[in-house]
Amino acid sequence: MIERPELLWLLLVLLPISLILWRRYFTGKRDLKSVGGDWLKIEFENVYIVKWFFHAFFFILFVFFAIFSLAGPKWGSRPIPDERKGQEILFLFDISNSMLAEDIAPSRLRRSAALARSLVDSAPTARYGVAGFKGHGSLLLPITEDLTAVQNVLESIGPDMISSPGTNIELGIRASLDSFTTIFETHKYLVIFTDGEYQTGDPVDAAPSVKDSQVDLHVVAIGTDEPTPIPLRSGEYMTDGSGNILTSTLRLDFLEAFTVAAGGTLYLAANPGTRNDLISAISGVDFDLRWRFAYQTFDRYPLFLLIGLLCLLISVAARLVRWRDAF
Amino acid sequence: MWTLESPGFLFLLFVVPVGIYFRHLYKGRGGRFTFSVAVWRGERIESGQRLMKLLLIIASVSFWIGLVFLIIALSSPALAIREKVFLNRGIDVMIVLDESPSMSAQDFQPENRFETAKRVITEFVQNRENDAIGLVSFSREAALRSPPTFDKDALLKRLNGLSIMSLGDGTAIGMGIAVAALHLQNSTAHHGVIVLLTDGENNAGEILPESAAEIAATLGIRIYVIGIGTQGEVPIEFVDPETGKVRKGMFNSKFNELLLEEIAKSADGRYFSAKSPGALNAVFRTIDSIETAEKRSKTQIRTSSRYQLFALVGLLCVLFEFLIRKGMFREVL
Repeated sequence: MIERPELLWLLLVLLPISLILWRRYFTGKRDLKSVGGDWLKIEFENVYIVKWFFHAFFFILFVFFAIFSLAGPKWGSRPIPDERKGQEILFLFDISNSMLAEDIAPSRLRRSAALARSLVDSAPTARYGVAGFKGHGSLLLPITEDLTAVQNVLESIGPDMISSPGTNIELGIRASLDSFTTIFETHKYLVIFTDGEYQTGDPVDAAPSVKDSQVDLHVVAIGTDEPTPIPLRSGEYMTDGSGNILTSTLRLDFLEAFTVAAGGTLYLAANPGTRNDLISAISGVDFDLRWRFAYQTFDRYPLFLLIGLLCLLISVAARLVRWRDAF
Repeated sequence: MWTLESPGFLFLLFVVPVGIYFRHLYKGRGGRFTFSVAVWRGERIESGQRLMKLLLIIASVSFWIGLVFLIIALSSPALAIREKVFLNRGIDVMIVLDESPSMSAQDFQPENRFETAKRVITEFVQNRENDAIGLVSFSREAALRSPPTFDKDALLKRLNGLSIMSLGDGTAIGMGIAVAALHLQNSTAHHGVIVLLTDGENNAGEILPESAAEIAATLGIRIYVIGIGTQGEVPIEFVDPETGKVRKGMFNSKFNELLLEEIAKSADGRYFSAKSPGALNAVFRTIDSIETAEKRSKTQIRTSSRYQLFALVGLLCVLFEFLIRKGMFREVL
């Protein structure tokens, strides 16, 4: 497993490095000839080829292993006692106007709230919080075990709860992560309900924060690929400045990229099994077990970094060791 | 706080001075050969390019700094954060705060009753580390501002956002207690407590304070009642949330102490009278000391690895040296 595979693109730097080294080989041969003359050519050339090879080869290996270790290779795991008790589940709702679209009945937002309510019913001993995002993120209900308050907020959730226009999931995620309790060791879950239509803020930017936060991420993609008009309270549909009806579609591509980057799980609300999958992922674990173990994956970067360092030292040594009294 | 998870790798730093000696100072080193740059008895050819020499020195320094960074990265540097973690939870507390216009009475100098109450509640909340605390406010109606939560920041934000008369004119003490009891009824804490702060007589709401207190008592919730303010003529000043205009005047402050005592008594609590900011502080300290719960905690250290930062800087330093020597100076080896 590679923690940050995108860093492997840095391996492309090996191409210009190899080109420079290759070019230096020929210019080096020419320079040696011009300095040593023809009578030293054969003696110098043999030493030069060997030294150049070791120097260049091990330098390239060094760069390769250094970049590979940067990407965070991991494998193998060991069980460690998991002392977390109880669950904290924070629902983060996209409450932008596009969530009013009715391609998922009765609407994307209502279906999301219903899904959240069924999660609450399935795990009544957990603590819940509710957050929302539009142009900015806001905590609508701090994490609590007061299920009456949770159900009330889930009943009334709507675009009017946040006034700022737009859709910025990044701010929503940051507001949510800040609201988890830090004074208790609990299992923490962030469940995001969204159609993936973002106008500002890149969710992938917030992905590292989720990954580092020890919060399990579950993203519920709600909507369909069909362009769907957005209804208003008046019964009409939302239009742009020219009077054209605005439509909204599910942006699964954004959500997939974000979920992968944040190490979460993606669900499609349109799938009939989503509710059960979500419930079993979050509330299906028996938290009353006396002993629980979590698996810690081993970081393997030190191995590759150490090999890289040895290669760098061999590369330097290949230059420094005087050979056959030549150079 | 910075920490190293594998400090043993730092022994590799001994390679650095040895490497510097063999690479830059040892006369018998390879990778170079000497030849004359002067004719017999002639003048030596001097390189006038000091800038290039400086660049070479910078490149060499960069290489060794890079190596040091790579060795530090190997020793797994991490940021360690100490966290106090509680192993048990305390009690659930619901603050029920009167926000009727009379709470703007200015007999709690330099602030009014309302602002003083908010300040004292803030201090109380910050001292209750492992208790879940919620907030209900009332005047003509009552509303849940925050359910019992451990998220003190969110709670205090809501407390600071309260304003006089946002729920109308009047004093619905019974409604305030009832809303608080409703949101404490499913509490899994050892017990629940309501702290009621009011300066008036019940004159609104569909539920009588006595009935609400009885409901709370049957749920095992204790009620502490604080009668805040002096009695008699007091100046008041507040901003009317409907018109946005400042309203000033004199107000005949009075409250039914007997009723408040009765509420506290019926729910196994106590009644306190706070006629000054100091007295209000003392009342909250008293409640704080009465309602103590066992606190079991441990300190845990959470580390966040930072090796990538060091490895990246190290790699860039080495590549910088490579580019200067091979790219710029066309070094043969």
